[in-house]
Formats: sequence, C-alpha cells, structure tokens
Amino acid sequence: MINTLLEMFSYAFLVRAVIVGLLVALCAALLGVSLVLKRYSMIGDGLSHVGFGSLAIATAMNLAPLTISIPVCVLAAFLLLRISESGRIKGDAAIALISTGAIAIGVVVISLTTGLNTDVCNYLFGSILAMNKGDVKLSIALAAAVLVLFAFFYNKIFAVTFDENFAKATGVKIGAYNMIIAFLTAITIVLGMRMMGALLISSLIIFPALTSMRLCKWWKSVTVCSAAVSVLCFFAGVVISYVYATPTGASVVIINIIAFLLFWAVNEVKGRIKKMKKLIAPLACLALLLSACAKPSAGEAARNGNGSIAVNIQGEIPKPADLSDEVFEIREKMFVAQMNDIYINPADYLGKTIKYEGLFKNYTWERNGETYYYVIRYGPGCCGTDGDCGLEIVWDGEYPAVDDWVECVGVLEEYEELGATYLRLGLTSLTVLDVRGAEYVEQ
Amino acid sequence: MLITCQDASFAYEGSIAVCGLSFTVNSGDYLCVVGENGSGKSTLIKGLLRLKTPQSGSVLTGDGLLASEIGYLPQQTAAQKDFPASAYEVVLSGRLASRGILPFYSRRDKAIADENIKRLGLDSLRNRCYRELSGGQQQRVLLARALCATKKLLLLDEPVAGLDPRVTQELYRLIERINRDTGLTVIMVSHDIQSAVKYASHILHLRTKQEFYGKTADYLQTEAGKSFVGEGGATND
Repeated sequence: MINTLLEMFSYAFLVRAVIVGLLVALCAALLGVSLVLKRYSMIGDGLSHVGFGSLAIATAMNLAPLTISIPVCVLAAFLLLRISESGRIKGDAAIALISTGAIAIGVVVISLTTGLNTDVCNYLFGSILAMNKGDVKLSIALAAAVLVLFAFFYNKIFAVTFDENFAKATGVKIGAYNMIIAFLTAITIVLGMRMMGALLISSLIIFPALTSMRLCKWWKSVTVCSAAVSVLCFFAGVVISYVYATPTGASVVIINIIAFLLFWAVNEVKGRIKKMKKLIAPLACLALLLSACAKPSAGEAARNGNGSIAVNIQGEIPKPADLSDEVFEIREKMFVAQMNDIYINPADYLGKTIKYEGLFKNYTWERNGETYYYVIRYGPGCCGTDGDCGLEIVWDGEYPAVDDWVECVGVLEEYEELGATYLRLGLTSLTVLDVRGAEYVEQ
Repeated sequence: MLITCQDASFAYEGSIAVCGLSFTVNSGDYLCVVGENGSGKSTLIKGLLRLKTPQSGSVLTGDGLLASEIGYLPQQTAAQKDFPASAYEVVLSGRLASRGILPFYSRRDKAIADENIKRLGLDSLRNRCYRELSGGQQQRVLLARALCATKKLLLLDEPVAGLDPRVTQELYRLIERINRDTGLTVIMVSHDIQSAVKYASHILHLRTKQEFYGKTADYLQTEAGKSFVGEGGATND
C-alpha cells in the first residue's frame, strides 16, 4: 500500500492532479448538501454539460480551457436559476434544455474543427490528465475561494436551504444566496470536470451528501461527514484507478457507491439494534473502506506485467521521477499521462535526457516529402482516432525496421518547421529489444 | 400602534387579490385573520412582511417595528420533512436577521436560542433531529425560531395545519400564554374559526375584501360572524 502510494506520488503531474481533485471533492461535497436538500441535484449535471460544450469550443479555438469554461458555466448557472424562478419553464425542464443544448453545440463545434479525439473523450469520461501549471494554480486558488465563501456563508446557506420563506421574511436576500450557491457550484464543476468527466462530475455533488444523510442527523455533522466521505472516496478512487488502470472518474464513483451502500446498511442495522454509538458507525465504515482499498498492493500490480514492477517485487521503492536525475525514465505505468505532461508543460522537460520503450514508426509527410521517425505506443484513442502516444526522434545511426520494439534515450529539444514549433528527442542511443512491452497502454 | 393598514389593496399581475384593508394592530393584541381559501390571507401576510408592496393605500408600522423584527412562522414545506438538522440549529437560525452580513452567531444569539428552547419546553429535544420530531414538536421548534427573531410581533401562518386535535389545542394554549405573559403581539392566519374566536382578542375577516375588523365579541354579533362560525362549527364536527 505504502509502496503503491510512494510510486504514485513519484509522478509530479499526478501529485498536482490529486491536490486539485481533493479540493474539488471537498467543495463539491459541501455545496452538495445544500443542493440535494434544495432539490437542485440535477443542476450539477446540467452545468457539467455546459462545461463540456464550452471546453469543446475552447479546444477548437486553441484557448486555455478554464478561462472559457468558468465564465460560461457561471453564466449558465445564473440563467438556470432565473428560468426556474420565473416559473415559465420548470427547473428540471430548464436544466434538461440547457444541458442537451450545450452538448449539441459542443459536438457540432468539435466535428467542424478538430474531430472527435482523445481530448474530447477525456472531457466526457475524465482522466488524470496532465494539467499545465497555470491551470493548477488557478484551480487551487478558486477551490480555496469556494471553501472560504462557504465557511463565510455557512449559517445563511443553512437558513436559505431549510426555509426560504422564513429567511425571506427576516430580510435575507434569497436570490443573492441562491446565486452564490450556483456560482460556487459552477466553478467547482468546471475545476473537477476534466478529472471526473462531464458525465460523472455531478456524482461528487450528490453522493457524499446522500451518503452522510444516511447516518448523520444534524446539519453540521452532515456537512462535516460528507466532506470527509468525499475526500476519502476520491483518494481511494484515484489509487484504485492507478493500480488497476481504470478510468479515474468512474473509479471514484464506484467507491462512492460502496460508501453509500455501507452507510445505508449501517443505518439499517442501527435501526434494528440501537446499540451502536453515533460516531463509531461511520468511522468503522471508513476504516473498512480504507482497508479494502489497501489490499491491491505490490503483488497485484506485479501481475499487470510491467517494466517498473520488477523493482517493486524486490520491495524497493521506485526512484521518484525527479527531473534532476541524469536520465528521466518514462515507465509503462502512466505512459500516456506522462507523455501528455511533456506536451503540456514542455518547459519542465526541455534539455533533459529522457528514456522510454516503444514501437518504432516512420511517417512521410506528402507536403514536404520528408520522413519523420517516432517511438510510440498505442494510446487510448477515441472513435478510431488519435491513438498514437510518444515522441518524434532523430538519430544519427541506422534506423531499425518499423514495428521493432526499441528503447530510446535522448535529449528533449524544440525545433521550428513551417512556422510551427515541435518537440523531438535527439537520441544518444537506440536499441532494439527482444522482449516487447505493452504496445497498448491505457493511462 | 404597531401596524396600521390604511385602505390598502394588494394585486397580482394587475388583478386585485384583496382590497379595502383598514385596521390597526396595537401592542399586545391577538389578531386572528380568518376567511376561506383565496380570500387574500396569504397576500396580506406578504404585505405585512414587506415582501409585497400595496397597490394602493399604505401599510405603516409604528413603535419602532422593523420588517426584519417580525417573528414569522411559515407553513412547512415538503423539503423540511426529511431535513437533517438538530432542533437547536433550527431555533438558532431565527437569529440570522439580526446578524446582518456577519457570518457567525454571537454568544448572545446562542443564549437567546437557549432561552426560547427552555420557554417552549424543548430542552429534551434540543439535540434531536428535526425530521424525527412529531408534527407538534416541529411546530414548537419553528415557534421557538420565530421567537428568536422578534421581541414585538409574531406572525403565524396556519400554525395548526396537519396537527391532531389534542396537539392543536396545546399549541393554541402555548401561543395564548406567550401573548399573555410577554405581551408579544400575535397575528395568526387560520381556517379554524372556532379556536380563533376562543383565543383571539380581535378578528379580521377577509373575502377578497375586508368583511369585518374589530373585537372578537363584536364579531360574534355580526351576520358574517354568526354564519361563518356556524359553518365552521358544522364542518368541524
């Protein structure tokens, strides 16, 4: 278990993703309590679809995704509330209207520009995508702002959630607080969307609140408990996703389902034998949950068959992917995510020596008649496109045959051609290996 | 004079909901607003809470009463039935209006909440979950919350709806005691005309306009009063 965690956190981009994810899970759980009780559960779903549409547009326009999606989603949140309040279209219908509309616009924009590719798939189902550092900083700042605002308005959110009529009568501006809740929700959704996926992000809002309501009876305890449940489930989900190479968003939701069932079962049992103390039950659940997650450790990972695992079996902790190391090795595990990170944050890697294994490929571009060489693995392409994952290489020696399994070592460099900047690896060694690794990689 | 209505009328999108309202409520009064469904009772409540401005005429408040100082007991909503909150949390939220923009409750707010919990005999229910309380207990919690919000005026909207007869009578006696002991003014909207004439000092009878306003004893002498009390009695039996 400890080894798995240490191995996980040797990937700098994974650490960043988990930090952002935990903050988002926390924000979503806190807001979720109010949203679920106000019968606004579906608002998260609607906003995430709007988020998908705006991400698609941002991708098509080559803009930073967050800077487009956040204002669009906030706007959509205001619009949703306005429509439901005016009463001409009922709340659930308004959400369905806006969310399907946004998806349609997104899909059309995508098909007219980039076509359905891995990025789009990732927006739908989520992945531990490499985020660039600007996004990470923005996400952390926004998530912190959501937490501070929630704490500041904690009592007012309770009053507005419990009894709008009373709050209104005592002079609380209901509309303003509904807006604040919607605003915070919109930001949370956009931040969590790329990791959890547009289709799954609303689970972070709904599950923890409902889970904690099985056992907790007070507003305060429900709030604290759902925050704890959400953070723990998210973490467990990410670990499972890492170990079994399952999609992150779906894994987190599965863990949330398990937590919900556990809380529900404990409540049922408690109802029959009223002996268990209030606090012991949820704690026991969480302990159970954690120990269940702890099981798939080194031995399990070894069965996946993987170059880096050999180190694991000997009980050694793999060396952290520290960039000051002389050679930075990209392992089979997290191959796609690591490659992504190189393309998203090239400044971190330029000039470093990188080593990895893959299939040797070449490609002749008709436009200039030149041949380019690559070492790649087949990634999780979507809809038959965008499946290759790796780097372009240049090598002074003789190139091997196409589809040979090679190990390449080289320095990452940037070059310009026909007005665009590309990344490639200037090789210092290229070895054909007899033992082939996994040609298809998922993460 | 706590509240004065001068020929006030209220409208929804142009059509008059209730008109010709002229009455005064003095400190310590117990006014019961009666009338059938659609007679304008809910509209009047919104007007008194300043959530609706009169179409014509005026609603004046005196004795330094602010709209945010009215202790309001609204009808329960469906969402509240499965709401996870302790009785104490609900009662304390009555202090919200006095906080203004400040985020957290002061020690004084908590003391006032505790005082009202004690006053309504809710000590043993303080930490219980609101959704697990009986209907009568829930109404007492909401009454305690209303008391936290006011020192002057309680506005109760159908407080006994859905309660069984015994609990209904208990709640009426409790409200009467609060009115008598603390001199708090009570305005109650009710279908229950029998209890209205039994407990209230004044009656306001609405039928989209003001049918009667005056002392309870006088109301019983009027034709409207006689027939309405008779009808009410008949349907209640």
